[in-house]
Amino acid sequence: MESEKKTRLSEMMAPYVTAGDLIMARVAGDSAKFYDYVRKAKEILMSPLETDIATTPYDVVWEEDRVKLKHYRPTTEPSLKTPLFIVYAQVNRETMLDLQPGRSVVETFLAAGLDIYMLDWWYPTRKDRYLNLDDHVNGYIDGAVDFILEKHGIDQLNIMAICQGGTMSVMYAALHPEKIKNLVLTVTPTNFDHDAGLLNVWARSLDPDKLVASYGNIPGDIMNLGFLLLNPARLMIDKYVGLLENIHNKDFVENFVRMERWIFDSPDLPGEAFREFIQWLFRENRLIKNELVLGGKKVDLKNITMPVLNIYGKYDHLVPPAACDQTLSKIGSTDKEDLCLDTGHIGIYVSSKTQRQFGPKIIRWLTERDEAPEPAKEETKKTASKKKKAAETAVKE
Amino acid sequence: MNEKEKTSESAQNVVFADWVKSQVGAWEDAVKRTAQVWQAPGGAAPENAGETGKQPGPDEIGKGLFEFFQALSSIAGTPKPGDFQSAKSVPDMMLKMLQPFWGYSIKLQKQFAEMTGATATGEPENMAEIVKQMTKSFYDAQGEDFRKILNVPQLGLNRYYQERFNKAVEKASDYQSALTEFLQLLMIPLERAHYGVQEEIAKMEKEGKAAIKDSKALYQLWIQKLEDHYMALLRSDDYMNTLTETLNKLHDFRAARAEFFMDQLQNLPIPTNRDMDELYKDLHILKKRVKELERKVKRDGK
Repeated sequence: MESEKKTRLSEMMAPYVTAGDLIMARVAGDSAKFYDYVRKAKEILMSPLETDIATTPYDVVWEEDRVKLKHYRPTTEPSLKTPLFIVYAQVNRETMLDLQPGRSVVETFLAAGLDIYMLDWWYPTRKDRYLNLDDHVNGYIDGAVDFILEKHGIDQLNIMAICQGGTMSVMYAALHPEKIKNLVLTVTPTNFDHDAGLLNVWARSLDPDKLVASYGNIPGDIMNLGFLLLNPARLMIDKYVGLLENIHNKDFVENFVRMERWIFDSPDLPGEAFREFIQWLFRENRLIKNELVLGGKKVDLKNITMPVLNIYGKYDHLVPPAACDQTLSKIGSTDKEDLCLDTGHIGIYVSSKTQRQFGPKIIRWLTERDEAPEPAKEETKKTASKKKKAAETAVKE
Repeated sequence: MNEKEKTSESAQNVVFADWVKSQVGAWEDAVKRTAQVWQAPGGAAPENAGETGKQPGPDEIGKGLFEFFQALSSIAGTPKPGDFQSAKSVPDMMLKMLQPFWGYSIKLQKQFAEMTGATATGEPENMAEIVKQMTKSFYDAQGEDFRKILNVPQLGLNRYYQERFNKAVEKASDYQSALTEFLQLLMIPLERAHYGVQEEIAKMEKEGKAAIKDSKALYQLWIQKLEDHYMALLRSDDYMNTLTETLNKLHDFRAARAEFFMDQLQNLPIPTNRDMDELYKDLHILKKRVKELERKVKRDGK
């Protein structure tokens, strides 16, 4: 009988001890290698590291409350007549599109001659807790759009939207279709009635009223904790084991730190907008059912008649294909295209593989639907033509 | 519960009741002595301290103290009329006031003993399960006994302030309990991954395959199992319910804490969140109206 008792403390603690052992063994290999790792890690971590993100120069050209509109300084003559307005999500920051030189969607677009404006939601404070979806869609997004249209003396612009920013842009496109020439949606959820991702399952069981009453704005750290818990084994353990394994590689460490800086730079979410997003979309799925009303107007997806390109990731665990692939069947556009890339939620913007597909595809798609810009003077025509060719070459590459 | 388990539980209860009884007896004796010491003038030895009236030696003092604390930890019973009538009843009164705490301690000891008994028979074999049960017992007992104290009706001018403070303490305890349970749930996959790897290795050995010697391969096996177990857990009803419960308790605690802090802030020249939120709401409504008017003026101008 005694031999059957497996209650010794050492056995009880075994899983925890073994986990540590496995991690250390994975990292260390043998002692000489481990020593070498430690020495190099020390050298790298104590040396100056290039970890700045969002280094492409821009000017803030419009502001309302905390929200800012960035205009990126062109690096070449414009190749498209219509400027591109980028609407990012409020979860995390738009700096992800300009993570580092050579891994920057913004840089790719600028090199191709796109005139880029990007909405920066900045950091909401407690006074923003009553801002709702209507304020964001019909207030901030519309305000920025009006500014760009007025500045350029045009009636329509192109919109490219990301994730939650995409969902709000779909609402905007349905309410103000006359202001949009082309709409590019990337990892944009419109259908919330599925169990493909944990986020959906969890969000549906949340009580948004209690959370908002308790916090006012929803803290970014709480959101981040939720995202980490989507896959604790990979995001809280394996990722850092990977860092330890590559600690002798300065480029790896710099890239890793940049990504960490971006991931944990999480603004809070305005309480009321969060409450409406969870209740109306995750719980009631109003958008895809054409039952959403904003600012007293029904958000009818059939009003979206401009060309639409819908890009999403096959392995996206936050916004799985099931959340995105119904959009085109519900809108009124005839010129529409779905593109499912073999990547995840963030990889779509930052992985080297998709960098070669994602940016160039959008540039090509927009170029095909844009009129050529009209150079102001005859002498600039040749220059513009040369630049355009250069941009096209970049796109092809 | 089968007959065997019932019998076992009943036997445990009988043993425990006997133990409590013996402890109470020891307490009565010890308190009697202590009360006599307190009542004796100038700290003289009690009359019945010994036939010879000599000072007690270190052994006796130690024994007395031991008995006293032993008794203290096992006090049980209800106050009787006259309990507070004289200085003689001071120790009784003090001990009776401490009764819920010691009752709570006894319950914990009992549950721990039961759990240890169960563990000794090899029932819950894993650490997570034991820790979970222990914590649950701890918080259940705490909830049962401390809640009674915290919910004692408050009287007088300060009653509302005191109630809000008590509520904040109670909600903090509830939240702590829920959070602990949630965190323990998150530890379960770690344990299961460990046993999963062990089983895998045993299976390979049984099949005559070479055991995994490479630490990287072993790590990959472990992390994959860990991920699988987390995926299973995170989709389970148990996880959802615990998460929801934790968030609800967090909300209740934050609300109760905010109310308590507001009481304090009202005495200082600092606006409370409630004051500021009202102001922000007014600002928000005003801004919307101004924007709407701006649009109207713009439209009319065109």
